[in-house]
Amino acid sequence: MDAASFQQQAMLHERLLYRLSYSMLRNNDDCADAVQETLLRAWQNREHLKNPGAFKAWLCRILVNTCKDMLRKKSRVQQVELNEELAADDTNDQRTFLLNEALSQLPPEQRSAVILHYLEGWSVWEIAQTFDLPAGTVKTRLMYARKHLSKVLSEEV
Amino acid sequence: MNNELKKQLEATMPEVPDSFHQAMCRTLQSIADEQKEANDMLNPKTVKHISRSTIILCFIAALLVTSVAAAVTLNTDLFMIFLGKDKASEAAPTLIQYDLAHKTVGQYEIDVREAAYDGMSLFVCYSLTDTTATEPLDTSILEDPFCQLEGWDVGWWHDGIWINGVDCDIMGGSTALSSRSDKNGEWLCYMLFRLDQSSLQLSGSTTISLPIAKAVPFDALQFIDVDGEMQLLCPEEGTVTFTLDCSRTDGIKHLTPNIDVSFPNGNTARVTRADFTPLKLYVKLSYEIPELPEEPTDWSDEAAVNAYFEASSSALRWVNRMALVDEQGQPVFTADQLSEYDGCESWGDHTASFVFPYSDQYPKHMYLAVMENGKADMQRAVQIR
Repeated sequence: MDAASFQQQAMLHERLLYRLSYSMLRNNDDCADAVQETLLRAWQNREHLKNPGAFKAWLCRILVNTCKDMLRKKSRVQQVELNEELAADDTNDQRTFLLNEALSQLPPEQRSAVILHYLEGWSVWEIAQTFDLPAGTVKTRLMYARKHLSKVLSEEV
Repeated sequence: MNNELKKQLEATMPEVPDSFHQAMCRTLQSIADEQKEANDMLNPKTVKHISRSTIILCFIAALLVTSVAAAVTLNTDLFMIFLGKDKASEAAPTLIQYDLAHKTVGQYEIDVREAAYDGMSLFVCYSLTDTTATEPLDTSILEDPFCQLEGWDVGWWHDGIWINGVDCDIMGGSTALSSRSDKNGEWLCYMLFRLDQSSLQLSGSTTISLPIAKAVPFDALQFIDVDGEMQLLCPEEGTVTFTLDCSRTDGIKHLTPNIDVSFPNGNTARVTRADFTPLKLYVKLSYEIPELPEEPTDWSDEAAVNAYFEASSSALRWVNRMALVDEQGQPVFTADQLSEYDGCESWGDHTASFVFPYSDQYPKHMYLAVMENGKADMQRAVQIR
């Protein structure tokens, strides 16, 4: 894959990359840092992409690993501050605000599963393949996430 | 619930912010600039190189697959292109099979003209012709043979080939060249696939499919799950398929010397395999470098794909200075007998790979030795035979 086709393919997935990184990091500056790191890692390791059809999944996997690295480096205090910052951003729609809150309370792995499955329409199988997880683990994450979201929304509305 | 949840999730998701968009654009642009700079530096004159994939070894900055767009008109002869006619054995031409496939795609004619298999590498020559052209292609539009020519609907579009219907990655060490010909609108591409680097061994009648017809849209590609690994199905429309008789393996000899040698600095090495074919001599070297840390300190991801830098750097100090010598330390080949593809082609933490020209007069005892100031250091010589 040459730089031009890499550039083209990556830009096709801009929104997905943003949503996925945002689902984990919840901060736009961090998302920008994560995508930069992801693209560089992907480019450096492009020879390991065996099937061009798997580019999207491969890029997502690198992004998720990059986000995990970033989260590991962050202190708990910083995360709390970020969540507060996020909450203050959305005040117009009460339900959206609550859902955002509920999402923020989920572990990043559950959040990314929710975004990919419910928002991006990925199947459980696709998520499992992409992140090298048993399908059962993905289902469990989705189940817990859904349960939590339903609970928060039903309590508050 | 799902549709409702989707709507609600959509509402929670901000639009892609400009900072994110700019970060992507800047990074991708820097990658494109870096590649252009690397290509220019590799050969500022007439050739163009690109880096490709490797499977077995992890290399630093080594050219694993090199493509060259030669800015001259070349004749159609695989062995002359890759080896030079005087460097192959008399048996070499019998390996070549001609006129293997033809396909018409709109205004384009695609012909697989020659192919050969020497037990290690697959050689292919094909031509792409724009039948509407009224003159030979201009050398200024010569491009990377792993890409399509600008404005053309046919040409290389996928990083792999299909062997007996199975998608195979482009192997490390593979090479490609391309050239215009004197015929109107004709572009010639010469490919050398190092199947041995992927431990692929062909035998009997083998079907090869090349992704050189009309590119298949990304979303139209079909995959199948084979033992948990996704494989890309060969799309008939986008490929040209031919059958190659790979049973012609006369003159191929394999050695597994495995003679351990300890260098004065504590490194140990051995030649694990030497393959003599009518076209080339392929040598695999294995070594241990005791001073290497068990845990490389360079960045690595979860698959540790980039964790080799430190080890490879250490090996680089001597591996790429090894030459083929006799027991007196005399080089088997002079510098002008070696092509740009000969010598150490790749190295990693524990193994390196070498290619040398064919000779019908290899010395009885032969070594890979580290060269110092033009002389073989026989204290660091590893016996091949």
